Parts: sequence; C-alpha cells; structure tokens
Amino acid sequence: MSAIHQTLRRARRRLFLANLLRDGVWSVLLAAWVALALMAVWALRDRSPIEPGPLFGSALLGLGSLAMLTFRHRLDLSATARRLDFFGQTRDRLSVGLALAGDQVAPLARLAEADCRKFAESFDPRPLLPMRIPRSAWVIPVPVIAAGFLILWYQNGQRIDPATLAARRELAEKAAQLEKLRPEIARAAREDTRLKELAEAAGKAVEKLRQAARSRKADPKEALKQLSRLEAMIDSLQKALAAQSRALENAAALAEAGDTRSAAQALQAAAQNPMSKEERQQLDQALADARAAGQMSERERRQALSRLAGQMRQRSQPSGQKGQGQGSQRQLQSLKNAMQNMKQGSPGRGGQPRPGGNREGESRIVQTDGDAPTSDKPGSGEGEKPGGQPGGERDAGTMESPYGRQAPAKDPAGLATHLNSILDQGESLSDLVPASPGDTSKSTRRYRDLYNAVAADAQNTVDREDIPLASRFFIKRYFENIRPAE
Amino acid sequence: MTTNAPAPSSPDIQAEVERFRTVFRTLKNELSQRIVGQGDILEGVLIALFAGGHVLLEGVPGLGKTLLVRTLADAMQLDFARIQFTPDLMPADIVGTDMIAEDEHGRKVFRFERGPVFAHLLLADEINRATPKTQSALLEAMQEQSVTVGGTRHVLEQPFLVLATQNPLEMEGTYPLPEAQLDRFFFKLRVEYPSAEELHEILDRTTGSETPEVRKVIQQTGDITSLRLLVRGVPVTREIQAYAVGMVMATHPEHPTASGLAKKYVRYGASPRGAQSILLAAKIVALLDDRYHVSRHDISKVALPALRHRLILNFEGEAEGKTTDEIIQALL
Repeated sequence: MSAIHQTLRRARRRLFLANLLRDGVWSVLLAAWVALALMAVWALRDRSPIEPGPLFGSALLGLGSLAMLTFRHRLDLSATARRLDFFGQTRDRLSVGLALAGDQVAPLARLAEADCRKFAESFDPRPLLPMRIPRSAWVIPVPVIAAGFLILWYQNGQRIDPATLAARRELAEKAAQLEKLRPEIARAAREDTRLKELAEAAGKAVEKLRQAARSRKADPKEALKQLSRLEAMIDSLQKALAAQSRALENAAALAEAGDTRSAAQALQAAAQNPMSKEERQQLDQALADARAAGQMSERERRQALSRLAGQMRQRSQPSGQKGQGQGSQRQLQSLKNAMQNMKQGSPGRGGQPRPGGNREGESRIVQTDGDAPTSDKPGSGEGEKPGGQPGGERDAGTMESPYGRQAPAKDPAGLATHLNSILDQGESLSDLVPASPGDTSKSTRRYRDLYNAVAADAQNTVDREDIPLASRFFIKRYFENIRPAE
Repeated sequence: MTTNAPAPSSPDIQAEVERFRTVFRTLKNELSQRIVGQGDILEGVLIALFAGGHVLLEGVPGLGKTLLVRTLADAMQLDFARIQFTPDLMPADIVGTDMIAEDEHGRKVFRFERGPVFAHLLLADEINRATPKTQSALLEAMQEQSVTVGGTRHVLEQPFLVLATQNPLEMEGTYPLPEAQLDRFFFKLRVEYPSAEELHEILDRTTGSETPEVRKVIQQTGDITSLRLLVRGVPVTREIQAYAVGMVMATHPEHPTASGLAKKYVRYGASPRGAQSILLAAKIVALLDDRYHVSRHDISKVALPALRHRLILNFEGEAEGKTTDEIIQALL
C-alpha cells in the first residue's frame, strides 16, 4: 500500500468521525424538536408528555436520521482526496497521486507520482479536518429547556385540583375492575344471546371510565352514567327472568291441578318475557303439549300434565343446573354484586372492603352520578354561566342591549347616503388616456411572413456601398438574431 | 491519465524540466528589462510560445505591444517580421507571390518571393484594419504552419509564432476578425494601461541615455522545439481533464451543464481548440509551479485568456454590454 493510500485512509477515518459528529448533532436536534412537538401534542390531549411513546419514537427517528446521513456522507478514497485537495490547497496532489499510483511508464508521470507520494508522506490531514462540535449544537438546549417547561406546565396543571386527581385514580381503578369482569360477561353472552347487549354496554363503560381517568377535560359524570346504565340493564334483565320463573311455577301448579287452560295461559304469559331462542322453543313445545292434553284419555292426560309440571318446575327452580335462565340469573346477580361493590369502592368481586371507608374523590363521584350540579357552593347554577342571563342579577352588562341583541342600524337601506351626479360632466379616464388601436389588437400576419417580407430589403440595405464593411457585420448579426427559428 | 505525446528522449527528464523552468524565467526577466509591468502579458506570450500557439494582443496604442514582440525576437535569436495591416493590404503582401524572373539561361520563369510570413516571429500590427480576405491569408499559416501559393505549398520554419495586435477603441474602418480566425489564436491577452508607478519606471527607462540590452537566452531554434515536446509530456489525470472539458462544455448554451449567463447571452460556445489551449497552457503553468502534473488551479488560471475570444455573444448579450470575461468568470 502506497503512502498516498495510507494517508488517504487515515484522512477518511477522521473525515468519517467529523461527519459523524456533525450528523449526530443534526440528528439529536431533529429528534429533540420532534420529541418536543410530540410531547406538546400529548400534553394538549391531556396525556402525560413523558410517556415512552413520543420519546421512544423521536429517538428512533434520530437514529434513523443519523444512519441515513452517515450513509449519504460516506466517502471513497478518491472523494476523500478531492475533499482534502479542495480544503488543503494541495494543487490536486492527492487526487493526482492516487490516480497515478502504480507502474508509470512515462518519465514525467513517474516524476509526478513520486512528487505526489513525497507530498502525501509529509501531509497531515488533521488541521484540515478539525474535530469540532458544530455550532448548531448550541441550539440543542433550546428544545430540551422547552420540553422541561412543557412538563412543568403539564404537572402544574395536574396539581391544580387534587380531588380531581384522586377521582381520576379511582376511575382508573374502576375501569380495571370492570375490565376484569368483561371476560365473564362475554362468556355469559356466549351462553345467552340476551347478554350480548350487556357485554357491549360494559365495553363502552370501560372506555368511558378510562377516558375519564386519563383526561382532564373528559366528564367523569358521563362514565358513571354509563356505569349506571349498565346496572339498570342488569336489573331489568333480572326482573324479567324472575317474572318468567314465577309464571313457570304458576303454570306447573295449574298443570298439576289439571287446569290445562289456565296452565296454557300462564305459559303464554311466561313466553312474553325476553328469553333465549332455545327457551322459547321449549316453552312453545310445553304450550303445545298442554293444549294437546285436552284430547287425551284421562290417564294419558294426567301423566302428560304431571310430566309437564315436572319440566316447568325444573326450569323455574333457582337451584336447577340445566335451566339457562337460572344460569343467566346467577351470572347477572354476580355481575350486579360486582358493580355495586365498584360503586361503593370495594376492590373487586369478593374483595375485602377498603379500610377507612370512602375517600373524598369517591364520594364526589357517587354524588355526581346523575344530573346534580357538581359544585357544592350555595347559589351555584345559573350564576356560573358567564355573565348570567341578560337582565338577570348576574348580568355583567357586556352586551350592547339588555335584550342581548345588536342595536338596529339607523339607515339599513342606505337611502340617505346615495350621491347625486350629472352625466357627461367632469373628467374621466377615457379623456386622459387615449386608447391605442394596438393595445388590444393582434397582428394579422405571422412573424415568419413579416420577416420574409423585409428580409430582402434588409439584405439590399446591407449591401449598399455607402455602409462601412465593419458596420455591415453588426447589421448582419442583428438580422440573424431576429430571424425566426426554423 | 492521458499522455498526449511521446516522452522526450533525454535520460534525465528532471534536468530537462529544470532547464525549461530556467529558460522560461530567464526569458521573462529579459523581457522585463524593456517591458515595465505587464507580468501576465509576458507570461501569456511565453506560454503560447512554448505551447506552439499564437497570441492576439488587444490594447490601446502605446502600451508596448510591438516592443514586446521585438524584444522577444531579440532574446531568442529568432527571425522577426512585422506587417502593418491596412485596408489596402493584399494577401500576397503577407504570404508572398510568384514573380517573373530570369534563370541562369536567361529564360523567364516564375520565382516565389517569400512574404513576411516566413519568419519565426510575426507581428501582425492592427490586424483588424485589413479586410477579411487579407486576414484570412494568415489562416493556413497559423493552423498548418505552411502557405500555399500558386498551387505550391511552402512550409514555414519552426518555431512560428504570430502575435497580432488590435485596438479595441477604434472601430471605424476596421473589420472584426472572423470567428475562424479568432479560434486559431491560442490566447487573447488584454494589455492594460500601466499604473502610475509603472509609468514612472517607463519614463525613467525610455527617456534616459541608456537603453537596456537584452541577452540572448535561446541560441538555437531547436531548443524551443525540444522544450515544446517536454511540455506535452506532462501528465493530466482524467479527473482534471474532465474539469477542463466541463468548463468548455458549460460555455455552450444548449448544453445541460451550461451556466445561466451562457444560456442567456452566448450564441456559440468555445470550440475544441479552446480545450486544447487550456490543457496545453495548464501543463506549462504546472511546470512553472514546480510540479509535474496539472491541477484544477492551473486550468482555472489559463481559462480566461484561452476562452475569451472563442465565445460569441448573442444580440442580447451585446446589447446589454456583457463581456465574455464575465461569462467565463462565472464558470470559475
């Protein structure tokens, strides 16, 4: 390896490091600004700006940028030589030496190669490629400081209302508890199609609770309303199932007593309650059996009624294992218990009650379930609206009219402001600027035709004897320049 | 790398290069004995001499153009001829003509009477005062180093160098040189007016009783030929050559790499002779800079005199008073 190659490799390494330093600073700057922007977006959406998402994303962007810049600034030996020649005023000795390196035949080429090699041996690239931190690095603290201020601002905003913070924590816990219940609801929904709606409502309630726990702007009342709706749905389902159970019990008693007509009516009443498809089929079958019993012999009728009563009792029994309505009722009861535990601040299904009772935030949440005002200040309500109602005792008088409307214009039609003028009196623009016929008109002849028409005359003019030869040259050049393009 | 000519046969090429440098610097010193200032002009003329090209000197009268050429002839033991170009000058007045003469038997025969072009150094003074027809008489001599009269070709003796002068101010009764003629000049040098200090020096030298003598630096014309061959052996890498080619191509308005000024004001760009001139002159500059290879700096240094007369401005450029120097400077 020649001295030129060694020198250039050394310089290339240094150049690589210098480029890496510069590109690194630019990448850090890019990542810092992007991180700041993402943190600002996060903070504006009431999410913590120091979440790993924006920080990790911007760090990845910075790394990608650094990799791309490093790849783009890679140099081969020839480019390195050119760079050094440019900065070092070496009179291209390095690039020429690199090109001539090898066996040269021509004597002057040998001399040139030896001269360049000698130069390369004594050449120190370090002064040309200083390892300096770029000036742009001074800008790096700007986004960092801005990010610090952003975090402070966000945390300061969080610290304004400790009760709200506590409430948000509580909502987050409840969302987690409801999330734990969701698989059970989903399982129940698979067994009973009536619970599907319940599962969807539970999903919505979880989402609302999470939003309320995360965001300062989200209304916790909405989340709790959703929770209450869920509870009401469970209640109504429970009541419907209980009514069905009672109707079946009644029908069984009537069937045992041999009153098939009343048993059929009771079964019909049970069938009006919401039920699964399978249950409806079974009830329809039982109703058909009860009606068919009227045409049977006394013995067959008694046996059939006894069997029907046994089936209905089995379905209506709270401890029955086969009845789906009973299973659903049990699941609903357990869900309802869990919901009530949640609302009362219990840690979960079957969990121990919290020592010390409800906290301040919890009591707030329970009380704000519904449409009651959130503030406990006396006289709050209308007075909290800006300015109050127009004319009311809290009217700040910011409107022009006590009626809250803009005053009507004095002359809405503009009848009193029109100007009179007399036609043909005074100067007009058409008097001052006479129009030219060429202003808007176009030539009727094509330029080529026009040129051809005057070209012969131009040539005659140039050939006239009284024009000096030297001037003819310029005249000819003029006509050549205005000649239309071929 | 390109080698444009076979290397000199001298065993000690380094000594030959040293001799070239010595001759060049000594010649320049000798010229400086009589010509005050004008260092760039002296160097340009000597570069053209060793590159085998011709020089067009442009300047107002009285700046020492003729003295420069005469001093150069004195310093090199070369034949010198001067032609004062006028509108009634005929081509035969330059190249010579066949004249009727008697031979030893008393018979009338045509004998070729050689014109002033048969000299080593030809000063074509105020060349733009002659008609284009007469100007063209120099075309063959400048390019082919020969003249053809009456169907007979007469080869000029080497070295042959034409130094033409023209006055940029007086345009009445002058004939601008045709492009083909201009292209045959290696360099176009602008002789500037001397500074006050230089004018003092001129007065001291020319109004005193003593006239500075010029020493003969080159005794044989063959020396110049061998030094010309040496110059052509200087290596040029492809990269550096590409720089020169790029510069020439950038003067062509229709070329994609043309500069903005060239696209706007240039009608025709530099010819291949322009690139040849740049490269040959750069080789000499490289040797004078104690190097054996051509660099970009050498090319930039000689681009202006080598290209300024090879660009033809369009009507817009002439109307706006643009000069070819501005366009070339923009390329550098």
